[in-house]
Amino acid sequence: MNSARDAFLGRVREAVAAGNRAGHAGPLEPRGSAGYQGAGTDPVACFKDTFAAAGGQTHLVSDTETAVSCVLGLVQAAGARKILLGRGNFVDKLALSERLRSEGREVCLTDALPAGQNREILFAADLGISGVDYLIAETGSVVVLTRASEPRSLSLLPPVHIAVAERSQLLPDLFDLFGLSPLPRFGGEGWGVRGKNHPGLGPLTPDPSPRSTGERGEHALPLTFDEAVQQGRTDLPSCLTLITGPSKTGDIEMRLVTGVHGPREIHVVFINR
Amino acid sequence: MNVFAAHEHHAFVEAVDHALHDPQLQKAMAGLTETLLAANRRGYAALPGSAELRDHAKRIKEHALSHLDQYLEQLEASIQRVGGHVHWAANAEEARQIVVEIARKANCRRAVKSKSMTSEEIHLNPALEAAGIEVTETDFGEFIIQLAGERPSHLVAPAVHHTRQSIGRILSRRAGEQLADDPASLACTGRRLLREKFYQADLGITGVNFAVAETGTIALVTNEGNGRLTTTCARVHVALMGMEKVIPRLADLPVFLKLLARAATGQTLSVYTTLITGPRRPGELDGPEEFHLVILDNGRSRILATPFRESLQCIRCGACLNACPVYRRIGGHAYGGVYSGPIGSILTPLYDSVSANPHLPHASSLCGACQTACPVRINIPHMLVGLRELQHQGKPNRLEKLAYRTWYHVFRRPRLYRLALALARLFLRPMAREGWLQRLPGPGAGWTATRDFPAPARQSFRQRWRDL
Repeated sequence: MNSARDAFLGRVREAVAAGNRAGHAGPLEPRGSAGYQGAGTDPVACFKDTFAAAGGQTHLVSDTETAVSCVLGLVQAAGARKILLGRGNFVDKLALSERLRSEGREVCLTDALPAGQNREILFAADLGISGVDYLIAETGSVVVLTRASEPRSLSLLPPVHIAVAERSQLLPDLFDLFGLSPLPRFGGEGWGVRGKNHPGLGPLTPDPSPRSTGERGEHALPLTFDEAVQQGRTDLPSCLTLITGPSKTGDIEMRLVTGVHGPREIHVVFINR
Repeated sequence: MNVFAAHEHHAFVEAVDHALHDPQLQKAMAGLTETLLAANRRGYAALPGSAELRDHAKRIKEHALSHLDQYLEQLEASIQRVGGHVHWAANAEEARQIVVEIARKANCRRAVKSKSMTSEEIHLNPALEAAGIEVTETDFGEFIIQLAGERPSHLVAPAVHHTRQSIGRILSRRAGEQLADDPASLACTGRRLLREKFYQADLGITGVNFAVAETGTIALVTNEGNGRLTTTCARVHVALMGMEKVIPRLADLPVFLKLLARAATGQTLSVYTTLITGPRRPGELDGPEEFHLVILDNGRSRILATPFRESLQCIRCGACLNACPVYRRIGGHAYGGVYSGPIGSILTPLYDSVSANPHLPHASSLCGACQTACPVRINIPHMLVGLRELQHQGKPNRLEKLAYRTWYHVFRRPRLYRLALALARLFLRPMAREGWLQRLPGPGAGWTATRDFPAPARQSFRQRWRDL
């Protein structure tokens, strides 16, 4: 608490009171179903289309073994030597690191980077392989949450990003990610700790009072994401990213160029079962 | 308070004239705005219930602004709960000091910045450079603009006034080698130059598209990914936001995400939507160790108390620029402020002063295309008229009054009116060229200095009606 803050909020409070017209400061009406697009009768096809429209490529496969060969083929096609490989129940199941190494690729597991050299390795990688937390059919988006085993860089720094997903992670609409859909959800592994059933981002329980932060000292902050979720103190990771296609710019004469900052290619290897 | 004064007050009419006689700019503006306006219409049309969703988005903004003090306090508490810091800046000077002080305390020397109009508004870069901190703009368009020493000319396409040849020259100078001027290899050079900066950066500065009070989350939207890099590589992240950017709940966020990209470029979503909640957590490999949110007033609370409050609902998508027949011809620089186009014609006079920007409320035909394109349906024409009223308060124009009184008397007497029309036809028609008068005599010269006047028809409507 300081005087600049209090003066600031005092000014805002006065301006709010002075500018509020009678009857206009009531509670917010619910959205209802406005703007809910959904994914039609075939959400997988819908995702494939919208993701393609955004410039991404979906590779539908039927089981883990074909998923692995698909990933290996993409790595081969990209001519990638240095591979960043994320960790997570689902990615681990594919046992990619042995296969990639046996093909002569250099593999760095994101939870086992040598201390002090993170930055060099992350910047030098040719290709990143991650899991996903959700896919959104309506918008053609891949949702990834930052966690200790999957850093932000994984889907960002390498010029090619391969995301491995399965059908249970597919949500029809962006609104479903935020847990507000009136329509049935596809379920999904949940996020936070993968495998734990965590129903979407959901609305939080309303904050009892914005002023109740005096007890902050009782909890040693910052918490890990898992601790924070367990304590009900946050429902969100430090970083959540929706990726809708490859990195794009139109800054030169409005011509579309991919890969100006982020990956120039993004592939979703989708186990459709 | 007059943050624009030192840099941007300029002769509007001359700037317009200059823009209209720049064929390359005319071509670029027409190409950009036509493409984006068509995309905007397509974007709304493709989303079922987009009209209702836009109404809802407007209600959320109205609600947030009418409880702004509460939501700002809640936002502060939420951010502190996840280990972030919140700073309050009453004006541009305070905001600059706060950012410089954060950088100094954390011993930062090299800053990367993702596109932020608010940082342009407070003229942050010169302040950081004066404190010995190197600043690099990382949005590719902004990077070009920074190298050229210019200001952005469009909210989402800041370098639209450049050709690939001029961009090639600018980047060649910076890279120290002659570059081919095809877009792909220029972008590739941009990537290489900027990757070096990201590698070295210790301070990341971003704007904020939306801040969620409930969770302390800030949303950043980019197509290139520079917003992600800025919040991944640097060990300190400073996010700068105008106080009107706060929305109540996480559930409100997708409403705006669905509309922002559709309105701006017709995309269903921009490529990267990043939700940042506090600094990196223990065990994580990247992301900032410190997270700071700087909340800026800089005239906004003054606006909040007035009927111009609606202008604070703007989500900076640029749709009104693309729709505006005036912007489409004169481009962003002619407006002279950080914010251009229809919304800039409201924001600049309000943040700065109406008297210092007398032309802006008139840089509009009041056709309403801006409001039609706006994702939150801001009644821009209404506010432009309101600003015009403010300009004339307490400044009665005697000549104008006389003209209207004369009109009133003439209009009430049919014979006199017909006589006046006959006289006008007699004197004005010989001066007309192809139905237009390029120069009017007397006080009418003020009108024809910048636009043509339609010549009176050969016959009046009543005369033609008789013959039909």
